[in-house]
Amino acid sequence: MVPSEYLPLPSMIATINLNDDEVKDLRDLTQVGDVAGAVRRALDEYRRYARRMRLKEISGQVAMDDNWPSLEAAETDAPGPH
Amino acid sequence: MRPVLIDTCIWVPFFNRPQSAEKKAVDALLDDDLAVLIGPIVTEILQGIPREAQANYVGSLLRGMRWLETIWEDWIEAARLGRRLAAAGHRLPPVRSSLPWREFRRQHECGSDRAKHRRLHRRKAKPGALAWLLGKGDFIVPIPGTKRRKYLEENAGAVDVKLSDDDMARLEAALRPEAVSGPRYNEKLMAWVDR
Repeated sequence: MVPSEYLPLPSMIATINLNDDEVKDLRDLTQVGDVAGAVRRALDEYRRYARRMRLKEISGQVAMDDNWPSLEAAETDAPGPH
Repeated sequence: MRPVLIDTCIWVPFFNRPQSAEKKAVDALLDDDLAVLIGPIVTEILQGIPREAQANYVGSLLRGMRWLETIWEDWIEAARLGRRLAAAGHRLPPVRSSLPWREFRRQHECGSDRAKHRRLHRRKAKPGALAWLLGKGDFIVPIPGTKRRKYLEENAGAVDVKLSDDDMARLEAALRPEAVSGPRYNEKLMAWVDR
């Protein structure tokens, strides 16, 4: 996790209203004390989760060359340095 | 359960064969956030996806996985572990190949006529394939390419390999044109080509 001070400056500021239960939940689940940090952690985790789920869905829709054995063979068969 | 570093040879069936066992296994790891990536694997995955837009998209999705940070000592330790495993006699399993001759050998390894085919199996793949081509008739002249004398000599040895009619029949059966030819991608994947 990249510390927030190293993140690029936000290009947009959004205001969201959270009730006490949501704030408590966020702090408990993320183990982050300050609310902004907890929201950031939750957002980051959701983005990671959504990417993994989408990765599962694209199987069969992406053509990946099954040529890695030949690439490895090309490496081992390549001429050495002069 | 411990995190798992998934090798490129698993990612290929993950992307290309949705019904494969590899796909199911990776799905389970993705569900549990136990799938781990490392730089060389990312490079291999993305260089294997010819279309730039698809590669960029897949690259963005891979960022949802755990990332294994490495330092110099990690690679030194990996080398040490590799040496110890090799010294203990552990070897990586053979890689399945789609080359027709190797496929032929694989198909027959579990056959009942093992003794008869042992002589065939012992041969190197390329001279065996050349012997098969030579055996098809005098009108066929295979032109193999190689960069090393060792392989040139192996290939030249193919003229000394005489396959019996039975050998030829078995090879022809294993290498039927309809079994080893066809479009490169299925219909679904072809829809992505040149889009």
